[in-house]
Amino acid sequence: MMKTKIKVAIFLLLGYVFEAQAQHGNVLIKNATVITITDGIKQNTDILIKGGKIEKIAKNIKAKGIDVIEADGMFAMPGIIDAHSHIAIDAVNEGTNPVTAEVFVGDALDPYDINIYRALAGGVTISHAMHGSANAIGGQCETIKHRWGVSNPEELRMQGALRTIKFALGENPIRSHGERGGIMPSTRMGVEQVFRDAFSQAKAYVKRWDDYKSGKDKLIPEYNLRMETIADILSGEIMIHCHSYRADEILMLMNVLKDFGINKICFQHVNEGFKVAPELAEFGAYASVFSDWWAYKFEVYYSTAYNAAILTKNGVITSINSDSRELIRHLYHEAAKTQKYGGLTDNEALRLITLNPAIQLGIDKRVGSLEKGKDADIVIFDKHPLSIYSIPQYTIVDGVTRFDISKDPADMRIEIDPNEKFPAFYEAVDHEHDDSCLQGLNELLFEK
Amino acid sequence: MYRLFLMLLVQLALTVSYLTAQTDYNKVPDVTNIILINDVYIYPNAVDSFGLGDILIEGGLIKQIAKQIDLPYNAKLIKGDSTYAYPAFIDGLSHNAIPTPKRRQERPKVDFRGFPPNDVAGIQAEREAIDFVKVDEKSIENLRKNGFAIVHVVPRGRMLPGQGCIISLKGDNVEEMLLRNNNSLFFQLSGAPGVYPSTIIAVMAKWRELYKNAESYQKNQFNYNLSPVGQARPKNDVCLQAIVPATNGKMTVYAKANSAKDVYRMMALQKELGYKMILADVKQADPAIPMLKENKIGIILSMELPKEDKKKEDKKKNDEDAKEEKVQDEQTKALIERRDKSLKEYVSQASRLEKEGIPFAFSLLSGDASDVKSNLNRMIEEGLSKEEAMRSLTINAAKILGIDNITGSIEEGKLANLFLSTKPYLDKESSIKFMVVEGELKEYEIKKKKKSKSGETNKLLLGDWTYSVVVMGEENTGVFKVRESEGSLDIELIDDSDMNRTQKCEEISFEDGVLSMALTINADSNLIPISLVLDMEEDNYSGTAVVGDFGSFPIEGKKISTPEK
Amino acid sequence: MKKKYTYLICLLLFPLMNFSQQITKSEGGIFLLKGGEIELLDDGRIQADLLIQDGEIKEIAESISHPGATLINCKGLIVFPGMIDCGTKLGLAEVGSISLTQDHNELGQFTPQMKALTAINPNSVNIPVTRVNGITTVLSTPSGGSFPGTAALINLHGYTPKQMYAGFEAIIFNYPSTGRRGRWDRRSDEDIAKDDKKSWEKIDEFWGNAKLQAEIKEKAQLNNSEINYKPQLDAMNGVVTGREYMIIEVNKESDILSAIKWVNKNKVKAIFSGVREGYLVTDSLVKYDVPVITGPILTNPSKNSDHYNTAYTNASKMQKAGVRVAIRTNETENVRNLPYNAGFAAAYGMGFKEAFKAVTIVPAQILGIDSKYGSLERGKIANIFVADGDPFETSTEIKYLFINGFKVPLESRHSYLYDEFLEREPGLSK
Repeated sequence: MMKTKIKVAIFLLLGYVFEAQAQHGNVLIKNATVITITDGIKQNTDILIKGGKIEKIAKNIKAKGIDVIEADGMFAMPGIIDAHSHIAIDAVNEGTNPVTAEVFVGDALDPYDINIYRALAGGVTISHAMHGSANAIGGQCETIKHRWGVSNPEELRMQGALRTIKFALGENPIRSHGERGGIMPSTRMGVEQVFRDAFSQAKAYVKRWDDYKSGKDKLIPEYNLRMETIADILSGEIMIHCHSYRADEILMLMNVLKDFGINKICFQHVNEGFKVAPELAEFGAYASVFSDWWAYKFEVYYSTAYNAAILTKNGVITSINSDSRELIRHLYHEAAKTQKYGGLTDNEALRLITLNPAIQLGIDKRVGSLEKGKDADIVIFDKHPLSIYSIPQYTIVDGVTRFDISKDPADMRIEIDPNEKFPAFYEAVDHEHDDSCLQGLNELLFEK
Repeated sequence: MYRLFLMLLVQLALTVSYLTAQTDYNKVPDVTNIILINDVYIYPNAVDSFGLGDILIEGGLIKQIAKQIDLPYNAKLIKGDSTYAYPAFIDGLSHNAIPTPKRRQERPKVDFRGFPPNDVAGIQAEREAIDFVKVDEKSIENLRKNGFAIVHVVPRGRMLPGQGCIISLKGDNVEEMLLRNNNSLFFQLSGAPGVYPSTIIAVMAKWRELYKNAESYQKNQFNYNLSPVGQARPKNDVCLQAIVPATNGKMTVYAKANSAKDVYRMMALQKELGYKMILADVKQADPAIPMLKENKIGIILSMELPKEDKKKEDKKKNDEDAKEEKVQDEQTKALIERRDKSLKEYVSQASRLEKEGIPFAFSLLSGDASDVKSNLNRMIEEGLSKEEAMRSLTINAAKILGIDNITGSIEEGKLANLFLSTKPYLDKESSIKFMVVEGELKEYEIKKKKKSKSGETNKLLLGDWTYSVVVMGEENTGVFKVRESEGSLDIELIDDSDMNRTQKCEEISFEDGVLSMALTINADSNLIPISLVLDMEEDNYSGTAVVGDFGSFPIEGKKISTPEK
Repeated sequence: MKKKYTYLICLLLFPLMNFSQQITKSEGGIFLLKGGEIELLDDGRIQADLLIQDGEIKEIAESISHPGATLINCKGLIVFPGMIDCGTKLGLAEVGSISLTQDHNELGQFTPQMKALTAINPNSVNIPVTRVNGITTVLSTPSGGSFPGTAALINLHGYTPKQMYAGFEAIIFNYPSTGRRGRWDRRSDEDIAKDDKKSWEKIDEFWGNAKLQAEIKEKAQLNNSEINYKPQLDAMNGVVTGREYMIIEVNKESDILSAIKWVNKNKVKAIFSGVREGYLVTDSLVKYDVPVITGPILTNPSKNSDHYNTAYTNASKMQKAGVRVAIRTNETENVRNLPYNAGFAAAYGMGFKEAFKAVTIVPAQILGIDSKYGSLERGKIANIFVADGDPFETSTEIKYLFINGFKVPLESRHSYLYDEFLEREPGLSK
């Protein structure tokens, strides 16, 4: 692949990334404190990685001809997984219609987004690149591996990950369509009907095609990608990740899903999930929450930073997400906040950013814990990852070291605008807490 | 303001009808369509020299090429005077010959932004570029004088602006100009603002849906016509109908892809749906080159290159500034280096394609025909061979567009599309003296290059100049006075309508004989910014005036006095 | 890693929950903090008792006894000075997306007479949520135009703005930025330069007029004459005459350098805030001794070409170069994350001691209120929290909190909801 001059030039410049061209690497991590998540903590232990997979976790592994990371005194844990982000995509919201199931942010992956590297520097190896929350039924999302350095967007995809789609309840779809577009939904009652309408239409659509396939109808029915996608939700092939805040709307959606025979869902943000934790647990719904964001709009005014702890203690599989190119850089710290707000144990806290998000994305067979045979997605910290003083040292994706703090030049951009003399300085760089800056900017996300 | 705009429209309409009705009698009639060009260095394939020879043209075709051809009795003789004859250029894809929309249009109101009508959504595969081509579009002459004889024109628009056509830059009406129609479908990842599909993700989803429906459209129509009785009539859909040829290989999809990311996206869609595709207006596709090679995808590069950084002279600075500058230097040196490297990578992309053996053409979708030579030379400096540079605009472009049997080289039997250059084309001093499009000849005046120091050049400008420009249906005339103060130019404008008011011009620059400046006028208490770009001769000039949102208009004038000493 | 607050402890605390359904009031009086370690910043930690009386720290000594005092057992605990955040909108904003609850942004480019203290809502739900994390004092700042108003320092306890006021006010000046406002800002470099020029024309005029007004006022006072009522200009009186502090928000390297020049030229008593690229101009900041309130630390770099840790290390680099640096959050509802912002600065080079000073004594010094705030010293206001460990670590629990000498309950909406919903009654059954 690396035949062209430019690529060689880029990789020479970045030095270490040269190895990145290999999709799967071999590494031996020596003498780390290994936090497995599923099998306790192992002191002074080695991890052998071959072909991008974890081959062995044991003491005193010997291997020849393989890169070694000396990790004495360091902590190795599974690569952090962010179940809700919008990095590495060039389009977030197709906010023109309350239902846009057919759009797919995976079509607009951006492997040159510097935020991928910054997330790696925070130990995040996988993120769930999501459509925004302007529409009740938004677009399909993509689970990506942070393979910083690849140029083909296809290479960011985590092949085999579960297909997912974004739904949204409450203020955002109401504001985007009822308030700004003058169409349903302009209330939470309307939001419910959007789902019921869409699911019912998709059933009718499937029937039209069945009639054609059985020969009952002669003409080929219209192909409707929106309906095709919703039909895939009904058949369980696509899992819903639903932007939600208030307890009532969470209950509403679970009722709708029951009526249409859908039994899997992950609620996103779900700030009032703690109020209906028993119902969520009973349904088997997952919850992916902020550590402590609240009060940026009315529907999160009655929130608590203890949400993750309450949900966890009620048996809901819970993760902590970023939804922000800033928070994604320190999800380990966000998880650590559950020790302040609810006293979770170390392992409970770390599960919130590893195995639990893996379960929510349907990739827990491959990632989320350090086990033999799993993908070698690993982050190595200098101190315990839940300590504020801890700094990621190496981030490994599929056995390839994509972040190494000792080889970390300042300017990591891959794509450089030849017309821009100096890189632009941005006064506002983070995910804004109020939505006012998003007015009239359809392409920007109405997140949160 | 709106009223003024209407007046402008009416004026335009009147002008057009007047022209078409009267053309025949205004035109000097031709004598013969047989032309002999003698004593030219001929480059039949734009690269290899045939040596000094003659070219005989008849009926718009090249009849004969030989060392020596006797002048037929009924032919017109063009003395080559040892100029250089090249096959004329082909613009691989652009909106040239289609007028620029004069005014930013207001967003049309739609009932539901999720279901806008096709024209608002930009889904208009049924449109044909030829319907928008205007014979007297000024871009046509601009192309011709820069050596172009053929353009692949695609309509303006958004996601699916319509079908392209290939036109010859010759003829009194569009029918005459048309070489090929309905063999290209233009596709862009451009959303419609505020309505569906507004983002690239929706455009891509919509494209999949349209394509699949176009596939079944034809089958449904066929099956219905076979036995219509008892069957629901399938819906007519002109847009789907227009996409059908793309689904059965009869039409090529020209996919605009400026960046590497867009190239990958377009290739992914093509792979998924399986149509014939050529990538167009590619500005930077470096990482995707191996994939392009592997998949044998045709590629039309953008003729536009990123601008070179003009190095400004350092002004004298006080100590503190200098110190700060130094800090800045250390911090930003690396950044500037990386930027320069990126610039180089853009300019050298063509050479890398050449090395990979991937043929390419050029598009003028963005950029201007008058920059072609300088941009080619920049690419040549970055490793592109002169030969490939010439081929890319001639025979390679013809092959990619599928018209190499009739054009792309100076060969007997092919269209007589060629130009005569005073020096080898790529020579910086060369200029085009004669342009031949399908046997129709145009002669161009060779401008003497003004080569004087900027100070002296400024002096030549000093004086009073008249101007005349037709804007909004009215001729505006007046004078501008050019003076010099403290080594820089000082220009004031006095319009004949209000001789008491002088307008000061700003942003004045004078380089390579081109004077540019800007001013703001007050019309009906609307402030309208005007920018002028004037091509200055010794005692007259011509140029364009861009008037607010109204568009650009030709302006001309002459020198009436020099300032008193 | 220590584990606190396990499930068991929660169960043990369960009987308290019913009790906590009632609103707990703050307690005034005399408190004796016995047997704890006292954090003395540069002087390390000592084992001592601390007596709070009349809202002040009455005494710190090895062994204090006071018969009237409520005894607080601090054995095994550490006593810290309350943290100060010099850049927040606390009390001025309630619900982010609802403009009617936002009181920090008045219309207009020149509104220095807008006083934050007027609009502080002492009962904002955000306030208890913040203080239970050990933050006792914050600067609440107006936002918006070039001179959006006058910020006020408040203690996070009290029922009227006056009770909360902590003795510092300053006019805010948003220095015109030559950077881009956000990613949506696609102005060309030329347009930015033009906008900059335009805004300076107005600012220069405003500043000049404010100076003239101040001169006229001075003369008028000498001969007892009236002056015209010009509230915008009058509000500037203290800053144009160099008597009062002005807080200048400035972030980009070239803007900071230009602001330093501007400050010197106009003889302004300036405190810079933001200062994202301060690390690039430490020489100038030190040379002209400009104090800096920087933050948030937990933020992205300002340029795509910047090192990923630029924002984490900025405070540390400035502090090491000799700049007086305080750390702020620039937050509203999550000012509570001040210790974690400081914690990241600590991790990325600053170390605990300097980072903790950057949220206690240094801001107090910068604002000129260090005789009353910023450290545990006799005679200072009793703004104190007691914790079982490093306050930057999330596993640390805060046990006691005192503001103005009042023992403030460690409760907030967040803890109330936790108490109510951890084991909801009724659960699943009806």
